[in-house]
Amino acid sequence: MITSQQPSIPVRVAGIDQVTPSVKTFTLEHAEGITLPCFSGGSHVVVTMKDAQGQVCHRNPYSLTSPPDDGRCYRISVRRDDAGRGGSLFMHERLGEGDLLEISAPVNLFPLNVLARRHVLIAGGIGITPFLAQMHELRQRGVPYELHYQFRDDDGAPYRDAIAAREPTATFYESDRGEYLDPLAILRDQPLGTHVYVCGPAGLIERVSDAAAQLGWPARHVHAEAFTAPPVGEPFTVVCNRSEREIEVPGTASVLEALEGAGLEPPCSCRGGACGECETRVLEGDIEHYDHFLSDDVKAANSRMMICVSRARSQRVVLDL
Amino acid sequence: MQAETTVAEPNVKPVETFRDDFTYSNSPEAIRRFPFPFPEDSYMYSVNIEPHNGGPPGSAYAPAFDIDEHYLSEIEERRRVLEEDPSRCTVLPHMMTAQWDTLELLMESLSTDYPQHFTLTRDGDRWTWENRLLGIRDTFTFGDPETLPREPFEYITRQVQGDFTLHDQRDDMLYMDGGMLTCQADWSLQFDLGMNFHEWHGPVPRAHEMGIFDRALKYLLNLQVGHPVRRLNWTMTVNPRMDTSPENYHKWGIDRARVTPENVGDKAHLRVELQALYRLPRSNAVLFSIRCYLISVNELATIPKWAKRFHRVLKTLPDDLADYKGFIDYRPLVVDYLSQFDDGEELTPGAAPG
Amino acid sequence: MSMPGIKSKPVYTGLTPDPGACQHVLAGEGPGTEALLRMRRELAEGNDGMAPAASSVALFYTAGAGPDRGDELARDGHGSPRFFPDTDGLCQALNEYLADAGMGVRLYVAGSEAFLWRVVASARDGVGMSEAAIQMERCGPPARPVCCIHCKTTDPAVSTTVYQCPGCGLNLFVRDHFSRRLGVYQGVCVDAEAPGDVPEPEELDS
Repeated sequence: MITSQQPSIPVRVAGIDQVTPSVKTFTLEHAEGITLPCFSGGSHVVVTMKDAQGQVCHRNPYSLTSPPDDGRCYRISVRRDDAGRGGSLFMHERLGEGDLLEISAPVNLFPLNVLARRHVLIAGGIGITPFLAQMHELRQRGVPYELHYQFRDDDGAPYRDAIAAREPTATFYESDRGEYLDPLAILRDQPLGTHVYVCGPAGLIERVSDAAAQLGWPARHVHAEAFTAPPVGEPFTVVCNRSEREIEVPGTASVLEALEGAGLEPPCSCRGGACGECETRVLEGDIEHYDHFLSDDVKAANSRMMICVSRARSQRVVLDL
Repeated sequence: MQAETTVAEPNVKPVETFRDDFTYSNSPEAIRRFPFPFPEDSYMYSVNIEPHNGGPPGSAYAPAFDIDEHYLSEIEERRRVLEEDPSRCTVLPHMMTAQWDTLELLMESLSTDYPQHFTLTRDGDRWTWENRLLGIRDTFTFGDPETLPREPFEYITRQVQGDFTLHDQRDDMLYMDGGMLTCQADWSLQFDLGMNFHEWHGPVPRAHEMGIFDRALKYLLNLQVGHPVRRLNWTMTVNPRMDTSPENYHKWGIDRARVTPENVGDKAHLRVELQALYRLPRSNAVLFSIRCYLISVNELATIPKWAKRFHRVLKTLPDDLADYKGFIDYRPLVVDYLSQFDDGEELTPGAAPG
Repeated sequence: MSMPGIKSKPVYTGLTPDPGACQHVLAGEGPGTEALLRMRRELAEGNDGMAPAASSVALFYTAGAGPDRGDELARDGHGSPRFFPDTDGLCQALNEYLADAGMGVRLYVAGSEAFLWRVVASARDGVGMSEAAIQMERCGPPARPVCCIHCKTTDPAVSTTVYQCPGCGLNLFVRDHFSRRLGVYQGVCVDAEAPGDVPEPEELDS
């Protein structure tokens, strides 16, 4: 069987744009000058960052925002998170034009439903990124769609002007001015065959999901970008049952990252608790689940965990690895 | 594709037939490169998926899509089947992006693996495709179906050996929303079109209960662009008949009753499918290629290890699997016939001929 | 006769008002009358977690496979049903109605198996309605719509395990394999390997 430690694509940073004071856009080209694979709107790549000694220090997933059928370059947007685990700071402060990076092949965990007759896209802040590529695709296919974009102030609204110039269906909501999108109003009169997609803060996802449920939308027509950045927490110890190894997980690293740091290669793909690839059996210990993959029953039973985002509540967990 | 992999130069035979007079046969070289599916003396249904990233030089696993000595024969058989029943190639309208993805993947792979036969020249969206085996040279605009003589999926799969199905991914499920099926092992594209992964797999004995399809599905949902996977499947067919479709079952079903101890070595064929799965980039769909290989029991018996191994596999195969695969009635004839080749010696592990 | 491994055979449950829905539409034919009457009553009264629906719930009816019990529906006091001479007419009017409805609408269908899937296919392919928003109750005798895999002729009501295809005359075995896209079971030649050896037909029980 295969592990998903797939060979990566070497890329060169061809351009860096400061889009807002806290958001930078990176243009990536294939390091060997060849074309990159086309992708579908909503896809992300996992960016591998290495420190001065060449050691992997961060691996973060970012949505691709460039036109999906253009293999000349990829673009990703990164919001600086000073309280985060350091990946976004690395991208903002350490990376310069001409630097080399490794990325995974594009993976889509937030695809458009091709049978939909109408698409409603709802973005909060940096959550606009997957929709940038999807709107390219929808324009090309000629399928009706509308975009609703909620943000706090200009700093929280990357691409606002570009979108306003290109997307006649876009509506903007600036919370600093007291403008809030109303999911009930947006979803109330949508015709049969409509799908709604939401990407942004957990609160926005919840409000949209609640409104759709209240209006009787079938759950299959409601899609949320399920990525979770691995949270920062308390350190703990992982015991690998099969390889009989004990590995310390620091507060700022995930179990997956700690295992990789120790030279193990557990299967994984999205690194955001969404794809299910790194599901691991738990033999002992209490788990704080952060993923969107396991069912509530399985989570409550403490029998399995997604090691890319979830952490231990106990000081020690034993995993079937 | 691994760098050390080299692809065989296929010595393409003139057209042979897969019906009526059945002139199809395998050369000694084709026999030696047959993808024999049994690494052990017994068989049980399993997921058995591995990366499709090349294989031993010259083997069926080396190229992305294998072109062999039967190329012209299989292309002609496909043309005849489609002439009688055009619905054997059907793609639902929402799969147009996946059609172009398929065309690109097949043209890129074939022109890379077999530059002596196929050439793809790309000038922006202006593409020129040359297939020297069939004498085809077409220039078209990628993305514009009007510039090709047929829809892109049918255009290219009429030029490649093996069946193909297209699967859309939505709601964490794969739906079979298109295909080209002219050499299928007894299932109907027209009927199964639009089915989800579980509906389509139907009654494989024990497989649902063993959780095999749940695991395979979860695996395939995470399939990545550029990292195809493959597995082997097998059954038996009477006569070298490619089109064992349910649509024509009333015509070929009787063959199963016509196997005798005298003709079993020539009539009974091991049918192996080399199945490969590709994530398609623009559509996020999955392309499933099902490449069918046929070998008569007599041809197989020219490799002593395979005759012994196949004898043991058939003898110990559970009845429900033999029934599902459709050869339970003539299995005893094949087992008896093969017993003459099996002295009971311990065989080396693995499926290699020697 | 049922193969436990076949996952494509539909499982029908009775109709129940969906408390999450904002609008309810009923469609049925003769054999489904009982289910339609029950649904109208339950929707009008409300139930656990659901307020009574608007006083009149749209109902589309055709006698179809019969017997015709339209007069009972007209008399039951929960608004006027819309009557149609055939299923095609019903589907067309239903789609016009659904095209104006929103994402919160639920469709409840009651009748023979052939009727259920004709209505589902029409709403799904015509106005993009999700199968997740449609409930079905199979009513009347357990007859199946079956399509001959050989000549593609569909018989809308096959009641035995083996039957003769009205199109090509072959003797067909009725498999449990079902296509939701076509709304039919698969009929496959039963005596291909031994011509003339046709098993005795048995009544289908589901």
